[in-house]
Amino acid sequence: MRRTYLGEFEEIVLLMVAILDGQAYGVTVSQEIEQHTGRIVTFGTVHNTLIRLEEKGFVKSELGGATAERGGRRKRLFRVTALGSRALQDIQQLRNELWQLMPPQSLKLSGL
Amino acid sequence: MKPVNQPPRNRTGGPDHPPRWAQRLLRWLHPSNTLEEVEGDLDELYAYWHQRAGEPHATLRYLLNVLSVLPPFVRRRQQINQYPQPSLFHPDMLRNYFTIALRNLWRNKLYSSLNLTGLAVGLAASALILLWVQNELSFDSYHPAADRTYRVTNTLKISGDPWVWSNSPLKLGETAQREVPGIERITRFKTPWQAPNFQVGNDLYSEDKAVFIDSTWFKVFDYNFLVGNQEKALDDPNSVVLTETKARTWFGNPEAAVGKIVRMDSTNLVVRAVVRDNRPNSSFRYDVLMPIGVSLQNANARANEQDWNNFNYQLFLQLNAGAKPEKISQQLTQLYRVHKLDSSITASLIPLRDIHFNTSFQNDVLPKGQRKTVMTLGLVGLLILIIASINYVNLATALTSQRAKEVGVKKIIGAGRGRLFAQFLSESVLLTLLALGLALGLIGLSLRLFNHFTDNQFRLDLGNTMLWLFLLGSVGLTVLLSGVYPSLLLSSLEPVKVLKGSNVLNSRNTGFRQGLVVVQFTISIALIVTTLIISRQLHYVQTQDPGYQREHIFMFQVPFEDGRNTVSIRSLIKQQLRDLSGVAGVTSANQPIVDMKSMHSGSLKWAGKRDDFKPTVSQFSVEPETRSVFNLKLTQGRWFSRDMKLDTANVILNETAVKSLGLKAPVVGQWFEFQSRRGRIIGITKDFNFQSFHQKIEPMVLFYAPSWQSHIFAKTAPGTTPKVLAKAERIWQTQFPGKPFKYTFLDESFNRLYQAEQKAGQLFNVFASITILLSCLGLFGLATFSAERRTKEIGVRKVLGASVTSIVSLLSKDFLRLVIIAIVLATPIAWYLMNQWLQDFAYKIDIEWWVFALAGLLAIGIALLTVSFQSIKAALTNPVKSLRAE
Repeated sequence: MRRTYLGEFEEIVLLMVAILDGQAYGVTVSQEIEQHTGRIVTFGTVHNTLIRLEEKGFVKSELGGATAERGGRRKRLFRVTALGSRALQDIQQLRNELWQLMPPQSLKLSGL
Repeated sequence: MKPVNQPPRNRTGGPDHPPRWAQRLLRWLHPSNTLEEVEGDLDELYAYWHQRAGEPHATLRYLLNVLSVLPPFVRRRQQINQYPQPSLFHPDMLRNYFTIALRNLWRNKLYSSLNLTGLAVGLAASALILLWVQNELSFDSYHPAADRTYRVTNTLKISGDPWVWSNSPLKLGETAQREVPGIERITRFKTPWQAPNFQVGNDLYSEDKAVFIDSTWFKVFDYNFLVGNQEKALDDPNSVVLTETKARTWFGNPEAAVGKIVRMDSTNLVVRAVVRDNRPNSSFRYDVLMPIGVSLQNANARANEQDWNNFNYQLFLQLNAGAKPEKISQQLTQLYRVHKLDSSITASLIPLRDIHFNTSFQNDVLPKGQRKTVMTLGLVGLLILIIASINYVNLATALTSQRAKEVGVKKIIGAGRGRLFAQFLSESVLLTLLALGLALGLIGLSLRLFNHFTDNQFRLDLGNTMLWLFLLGSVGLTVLLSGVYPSLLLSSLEPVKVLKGSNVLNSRNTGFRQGLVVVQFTISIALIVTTLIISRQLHYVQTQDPGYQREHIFMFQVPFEDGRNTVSIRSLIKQQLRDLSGVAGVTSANQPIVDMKSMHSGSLKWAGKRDDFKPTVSQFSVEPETRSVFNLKLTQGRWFSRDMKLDTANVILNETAVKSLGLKAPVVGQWFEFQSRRGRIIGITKDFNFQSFHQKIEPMVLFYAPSWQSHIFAKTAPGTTPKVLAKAERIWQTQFPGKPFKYTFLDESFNRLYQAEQKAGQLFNVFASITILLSCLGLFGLATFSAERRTKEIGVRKVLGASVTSIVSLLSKDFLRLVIIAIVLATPIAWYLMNQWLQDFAYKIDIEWWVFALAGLLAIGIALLTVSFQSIKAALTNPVKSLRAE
């Protein structure tokens, strides 16, 4: 019983934010997704998803300090919140439980 | 896992940067609160793509990705403010607005009072007008079945113009109810042919608001029964229903009235019920309602009404839902064919809501409205509201420089534009509400006058939702018109400029304000012209010689009574009047000479008349003395004489009749048949206006028929009128004991013909004065402001030796220019409107140029007077005072 529905892409983005551990912002998240899943996603998709995740309370963000990089423009860095990590763990646990319930031969058969 | 890629170094300014137009697009369309991070991210990605796949690929991807963060694709980040702004309607904020508004009102007492007065007068005037307009437009619409209720009118077409009237035979109603499907119920009414007298206890009242109705009346029309049973109110043939006011005057209170006996002429009636007074938007303004049976007490009258040729009743039909009025009217016409054996009459149905403005027939017993007047006054009401609002705009923008610092400081502290806008708008709401309070007072004071003007019974009933709807609507409109611009202007001020002390108002604002003044004065001047022309036209028609004498003549009607010889009673009364000292002449005729309605068509014959020519003529029954009493002029022939026995068959025509009937000379002496009597034309009168000046003089036949003369006219020598009247009343009482003596003066009835115009004229006078007053208030405020702003300039000029005159003219010149522009604009508008209005008169004045010149001069004079007060004050100020504080 999750209180907030987490979409598939949202889950991936949330995972990436967790993986990047404090270094997550638009660029790194898109690059990670591209690298690890091979999916080419537009920046807008990532941007929108991050905003949505923040609205749902799974991540929080703050503007990083201004650096000489990128013309002095600040980055918005994202972190997973307690609610976010809880959500990820819930999903993981649910999946595990479901896997346990699976009869061993069913995947083999369908795999053939 | 480690992050795979460190963000690559960006080399902005280098050769490989994303296309600049795409960046500009991004900056322009992307939400501002996420622009910085997104722009940086995209730059970084561009550098990354560039490094990995080269420039074309990177540019392509960059464009694609920019597109993905533009609306409508991009999601907007909600603004989370570090310093949350309290809601606009937070009590603290409201209290703050309120305090500031009051302080400002108090600080600028002059402006505030100008503003308040202007708004209050404007609101009161326009609310009154709108109330009246709404009342006129909603006539008879409050009856629950108003949509299904129709009035029957009949059209007779023989030759020439069709003749339309609203009376029907008594039988038509009953027959229609019985034979025509789709009619739910019918109801009829008939007004007594002269005001009946009612004896209540020992008092005698002549009641001209009495009516005979069907018992279905209360089912078709909405009446509010205070006392008595609605269902059974008129079941008894000798019953009567009174309105509240009538019950109070006759019996003291409604409860006491029920069950009492009232004696009408010779019939005893029992008061069965009392209803609430007629609403001001009701066509039926009758206070004493009796069953039709009361008027049909004798067998003769009853038999008379069974005749299909006697059109005496106003018939209303309440149709079943879904019934087609066109079809019903066809069936009614068919009834005439069958029962009256007449193919020249057609019946038609007018919706109940439309009868107030329907002017297809004249002489209606119900009061009529003029749609044109209603619309014009409505427009004037709106104009007044606009002018009052313009004043507010002008004064409020004039004060902008005073408020500028406040706006600057507020903006720096963090107030947004919307917030400031709300603040200034709430100030105008506050002021308008204050003005509303004042306006209510003004309405209360002027309501009696207004009722008198419009012949209505409006009350300032604060429980009336309609009134509140109107007032609040007016307030809303005023706030919209007056509050929005100053609020926009004030909230747009730039804090840096304001606090640096540079001039906050640019020339565009001044232009706007001047435009508003031009609008105000255009309206005012147009109204001045209108007022002048209306009053000149009314003066013209009232002083124009109609061709007969009407001064010092009073008139009364001799009632018809069963069993008495009316002709001999009349001769007796005339003889007794002639014997009185002070009476210069006595005569009788069939109708008052000032407004003759009696027409005749059909029975005319003369030598050489074409068979298909059936002219309609006015008929005027006169006697030998009539000529000298009215001082009528003959152009040919002679007047009727008692010595000539054959004169009762002879006729006299007016000049127009000779022309339009196409009689060949010599006219006098030709044979002529009129009302089935053949005689000769013995004379021709000079044309005289026997109707209002709206109508052209029509052909008229004067004939000598002593039995056709119910009106007696007596001319008195100047100064003797009251004495003669007192004696005349005694003569009346000996003939008609117990009947009140009712007389009218001819010149009064003559003036009454133009009552509608006179009222419109007076209303225009009042409202034109109000608009001028309001415009002057606005101008005064503007002049004050302009003088204040130029204090230093005036100081410098004075130090350099300018005279008071030159400074006054310097300050007045600008305003004069505006007024002159207004004159140029107003002239064609006013000319057009007045030309339209004058079309209604057959006899009218020319619109002369000097009227416009006079209106213009008046406007200039008023404007100069207003402005000079301020400019002289400014010119007389000691320059030391104005220049010291630099």
